[in-house]
Amino acid sequence: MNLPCIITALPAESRSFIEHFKLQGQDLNGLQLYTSDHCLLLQTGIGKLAAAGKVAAILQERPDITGIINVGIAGCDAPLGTQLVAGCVEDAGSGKRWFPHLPPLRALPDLKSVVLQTHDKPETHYQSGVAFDMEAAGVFSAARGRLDSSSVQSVKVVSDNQSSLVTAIDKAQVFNWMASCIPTVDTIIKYLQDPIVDQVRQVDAFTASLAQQMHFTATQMHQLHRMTTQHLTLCSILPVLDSSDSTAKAMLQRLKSEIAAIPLSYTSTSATQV
Amino acid sequence: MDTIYIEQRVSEHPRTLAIVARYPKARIIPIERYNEVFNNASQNFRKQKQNPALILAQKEGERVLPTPEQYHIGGQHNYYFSHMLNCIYDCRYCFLQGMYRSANYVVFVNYEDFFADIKAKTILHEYPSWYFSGYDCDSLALEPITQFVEHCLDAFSEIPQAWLELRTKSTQIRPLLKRPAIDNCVVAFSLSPEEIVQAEEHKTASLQKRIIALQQLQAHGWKIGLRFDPLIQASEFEIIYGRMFEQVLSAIDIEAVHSVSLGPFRLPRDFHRKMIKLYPDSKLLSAQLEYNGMHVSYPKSTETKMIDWCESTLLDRIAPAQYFPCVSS
Repeated sequence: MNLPCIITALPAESRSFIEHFKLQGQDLNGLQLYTSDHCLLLQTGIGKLAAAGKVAAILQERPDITGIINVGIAGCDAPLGTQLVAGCVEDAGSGKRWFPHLPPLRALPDLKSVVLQTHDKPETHYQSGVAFDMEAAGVFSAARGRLDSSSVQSVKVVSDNQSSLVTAIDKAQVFNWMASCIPTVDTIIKYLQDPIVDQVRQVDAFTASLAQQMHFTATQMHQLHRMTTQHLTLCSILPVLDSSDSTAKAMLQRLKSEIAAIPLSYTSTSATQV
Repeated sequence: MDTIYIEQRVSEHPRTLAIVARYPKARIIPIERYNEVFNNASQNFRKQKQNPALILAQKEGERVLPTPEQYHIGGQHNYYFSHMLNCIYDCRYCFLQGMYRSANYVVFVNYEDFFADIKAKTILHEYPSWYFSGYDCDSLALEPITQFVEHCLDAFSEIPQAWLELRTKSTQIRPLLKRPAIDNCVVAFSLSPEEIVQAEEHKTASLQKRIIALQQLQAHGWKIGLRFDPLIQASEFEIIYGRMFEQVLSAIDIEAVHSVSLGPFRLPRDFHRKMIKLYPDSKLLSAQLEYNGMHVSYPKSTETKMIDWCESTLLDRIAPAQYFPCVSS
């Protein structure tokens, strides 16, 4: 099952999502985590270092996370409440950049893409096409080590600009902006769904259970994983254990011959239909 | 195109401006060099393939490279060049899935530099040299956007010692039909049985449409090539390949065909390793394959049987001089 994790910095940014996704607070080694079976939310606190540390920690604690959406407020030369998607995330301190592979335009037709710069302090030199925040680079530096460019996204809502400075932001407004962001986050969660995750998990669980029943070397474990995947793909079912499978070697040999014998048909329905 | 990355140094290039004008709603993201997006390590080719972005860039360094030894259609000096990286089609056997980290399309807009390099290579040789354009992309598929082939044919018409192969599965042949054929160009179509087109060559034109395109090109005077490559194993291999050979060869003027080539399904080992991770649910990639040195291929006996059968079937209909097997030892 796919498991997205929303990353916010502040309670006011988290509340709407906690309510919408019916998340329950959970204390996980000091992480401020909210969970359900289908979605997680991690509140990191302010700043890229806090974000990087806590995102790294949650990815370690929850290896079942398949996607990350960083959501929050940002400064930009655009009207307050405008939603933006990061086409490029830049760490203003180091100059390091990340390019998320964005969801299709048809899914998010009204979302403008910007360069999202992460600063250590609130930035007020507002520019068009550039937004400022304080966490995204931390989220990306920690998450992109494990997740690919399609699976880590950042959505921001404009909270301050030339005519309404950062000091004027109030919590109620932030709550409302985040609530207006829920459909966007829902769309991105759908985009993050990866259809092969279930197959991979099924194979992982099967091979792990076999490994408890007989001894496999590391190489044999790798072969077992591959052959199980092949079997599942070609026959739509997991391999069945045979009474002749006295050792891992015997089992792998039997599986190899079984796979080699599966006909690959491009026309009939009797063989494996492609 | 949803997203267009543009190298800053080509942001004002007339071709960049023309391409961007076609996509007024696209998100435009400036970049320094195309590699910072295209070669980034943590990318997922399969996911990107759902909505690839376009990267407009300038190609520097070696633009025209020698082909692998077995990759030729009779010429002594053989080169390939890629004005574009990646393909709009999604063929499950394609090596590009294993070669590139990204499924985004890169278009190099400095076409004239490619043509200058081709001229420079050509004058080095006493005999004609060959230039293959469809190695890292489909030569014609993105033609409405790039108009590369149009410029390329203009350039080749001025270098008669240089031969061009356009390699495609596309039926975007309008640019070829609206101009007179040139002698030193072969338009080569990759062909597979319709059953394999439907199951493995996603987003491509049907076999029938490719055959119609071949007929139109021949009628217009273009030299055509037939590329039965890669051969895909199937339990009813002889039936579906036999049917395809008949469909193709009965529809065209065989004697006028410039060249016919045949190649088995093979992948470098590293590419295969990446591809089975990307597509664990692919039946083609799950079939029995064997490691053969640095390559992965069907078991030798299967491969030989497939090639021998195709070769003998084809050589009943075409002259040996037209035939170029693309098989490495």
